[in-house]
Amino acid sequence: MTADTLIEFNAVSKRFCRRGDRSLRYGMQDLLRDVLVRPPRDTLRDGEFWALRDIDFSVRRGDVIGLVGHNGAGKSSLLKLLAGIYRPTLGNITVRTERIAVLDHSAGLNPMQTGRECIYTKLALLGQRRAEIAERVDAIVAVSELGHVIDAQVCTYSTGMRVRLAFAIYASVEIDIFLVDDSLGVADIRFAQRMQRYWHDFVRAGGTMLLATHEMYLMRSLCTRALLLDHGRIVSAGPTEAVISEYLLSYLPASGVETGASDAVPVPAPSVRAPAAPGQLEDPDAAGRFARFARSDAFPVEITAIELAADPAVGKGAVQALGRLTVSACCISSIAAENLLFGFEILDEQGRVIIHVRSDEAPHYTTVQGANRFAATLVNLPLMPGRYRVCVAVMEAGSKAILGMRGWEDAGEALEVLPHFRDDLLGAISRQALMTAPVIWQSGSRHEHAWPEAAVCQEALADAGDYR
Amino acid sequence: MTENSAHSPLRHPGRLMRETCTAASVSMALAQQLLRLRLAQLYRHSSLGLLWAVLPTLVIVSGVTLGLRGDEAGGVGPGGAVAFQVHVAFGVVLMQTFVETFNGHRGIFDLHMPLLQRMRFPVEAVMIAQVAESAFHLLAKIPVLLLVMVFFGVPLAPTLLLGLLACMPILLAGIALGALLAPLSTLGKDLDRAMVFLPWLVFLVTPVFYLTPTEGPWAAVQAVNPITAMLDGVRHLAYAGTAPAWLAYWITVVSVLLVLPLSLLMCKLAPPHLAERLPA
Repeated sequence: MTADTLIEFNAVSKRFCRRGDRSLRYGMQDLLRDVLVRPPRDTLRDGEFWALRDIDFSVRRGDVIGLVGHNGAGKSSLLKLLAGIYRPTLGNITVRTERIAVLDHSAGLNPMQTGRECIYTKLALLGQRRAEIAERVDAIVAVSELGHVIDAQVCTYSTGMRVRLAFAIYASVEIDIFLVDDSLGVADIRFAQRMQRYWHDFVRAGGTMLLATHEMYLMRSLCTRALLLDHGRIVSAGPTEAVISEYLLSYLPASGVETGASDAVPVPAPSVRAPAAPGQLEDPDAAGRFARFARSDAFPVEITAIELAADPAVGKGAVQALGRLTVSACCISSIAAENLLFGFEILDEQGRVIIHVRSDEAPHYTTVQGANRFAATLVNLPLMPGRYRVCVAVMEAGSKAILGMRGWEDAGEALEVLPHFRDDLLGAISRQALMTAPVIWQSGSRHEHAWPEAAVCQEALADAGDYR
Repeated sequence: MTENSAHSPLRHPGRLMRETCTAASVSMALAQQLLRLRLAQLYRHSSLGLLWAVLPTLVIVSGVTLGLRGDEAGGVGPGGAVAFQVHVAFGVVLMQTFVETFNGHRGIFDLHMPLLQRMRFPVEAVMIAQVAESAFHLLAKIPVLLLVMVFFGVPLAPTLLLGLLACMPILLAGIALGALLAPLSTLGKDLDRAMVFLPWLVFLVTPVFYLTPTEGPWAAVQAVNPITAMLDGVRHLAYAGTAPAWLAYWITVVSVLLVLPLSLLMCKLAPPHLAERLPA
């Protein structure tokens, strides 16, 4: 274990039991083995399975590691072992700090205590004295935006409210390691964005994070490397993009091959993180981060309106199927920034995302302080006739942090797609097709003279790289 | 630096002892916090608030006092000078203390499992808070006993202080037994079900509502009932009630002191075994 190694897993395995009726028996057996100082057993009893097997890896101070894998792959168990909540069945874990925060769906709040009492309990657990806690309570309540329910019992809170409260508590103190277990999805989108911005801040200040989430955007923007877990083993480790790609590809339905357990691959030592120059760290302490977190509720780019323009023009907020649609976001920016991305989603009446696009491959947008306009055009709108709504967002290209957004928290901008009478669209409607598409029709023959337009079509498709 | 190993923490008893002492010393503030919040939680949403700590005892003792007529029940102590109601009042309060302490420690993990499953938690703080809660409930009952003694004209002798001190073994017995069974109680629900009738059974075989028999088969039962010795010890010291079987008394006290560290050890080792087996 080198000097800057913060966490080390040595041949760690963890065994669980699926059979609830064996809890009492196995639990008391294991407890008595501890009392009698018996060595650990490398065997399974009836109903038991290995949730984690032969895990070896280390984390240096400042590393941000993503844990990727299917449900039940062992991500949460790994985090709980690291937090000291579980004991390994085999092997050992060394952690060079006790300032560890676990953030998950239930947030570790006592449901029978009020929100205010939970603040006191949590902070006392994190080593804060009563006077110190009393000084922070109001700020935590304000940041969590739960002032109206802070004296109600936590069992009356929604899951998102619990996560908000727990996160506000953790953000107010000095934490060395954040263990985040897929808790982003339960907070509303605005608070989730605030959490993301806090974590970017935490990471920039040299904090260490292990992040188990299915929010791949967040993982890509935060994590320096990732581990792919499959059936309790680390099957891949390396740069985040590569591991995420491997994970996504391995679960494509077309592959038709279920990923099986394989031998653990030793994780290469993490690359040495270049220490940040002191000037680069903006208030690296918890108080500074908390202060920025507290005032992070307003987006720097306020999108004031979404405008839709159709070609051919068929009326306000309407577009013809396969027509041209330009989506514009009118905004007031409090910052001047470069390297921005513009994206939008079109959702159907049930709130399902039908189209999700972002300008990753296009030249980046910029803003100036004051009024700005972001625009993008869908050339052939492939939506079936019906009612939709449009939501837009502006974000940083590097971190993917959202700088401004509109539409998700309200009804969005209404869009009506009107039918036309070409290409048997009415037939598609009667067949309840999900979408339509622009098509270049080919003849049944590839002879040059069979159809006058065939050569043009072939050329166009060849240009597009699709012609075989 | 912390190490989370598959090996039993008892492999290094010295280190475990040091860690426990350190955790206990740094847990005092947290234990205070837990106690304060626990008491608030117990008595919130009730119009009488903290009065509930005293009220059940007061009502039971009043009921017993009014229900028993001294001339029918006879007296206890030297020359039968002390009203029988005093004997019953002491019995009720001490048995309540034992059962409450036992139940409090038995349910210690159930109470704190939401936290134990989410973060490394100094179990010492929980233990200290629970002991303090039990002591609080005992202290809340003592004024009722003093009231009964004054009401029935029992002189408040200096040995009364020794009598109150003799309540400690009862408290410790509840802690030792409850903490020893706490992991078992959390993993299985048999004890919960048994507690529906167990306190009544203990009340039946312990001289709470009757004088300690000195002869016959029932006396043999009392001779092996450790709670009888502890109850009689307190009564004897407080108002010169029936003298306990001192040998049984001291055997009980020593046994409690021997079992107590084992119980605390079980509680220290249990949390990870429980956290992985209980639904989150």
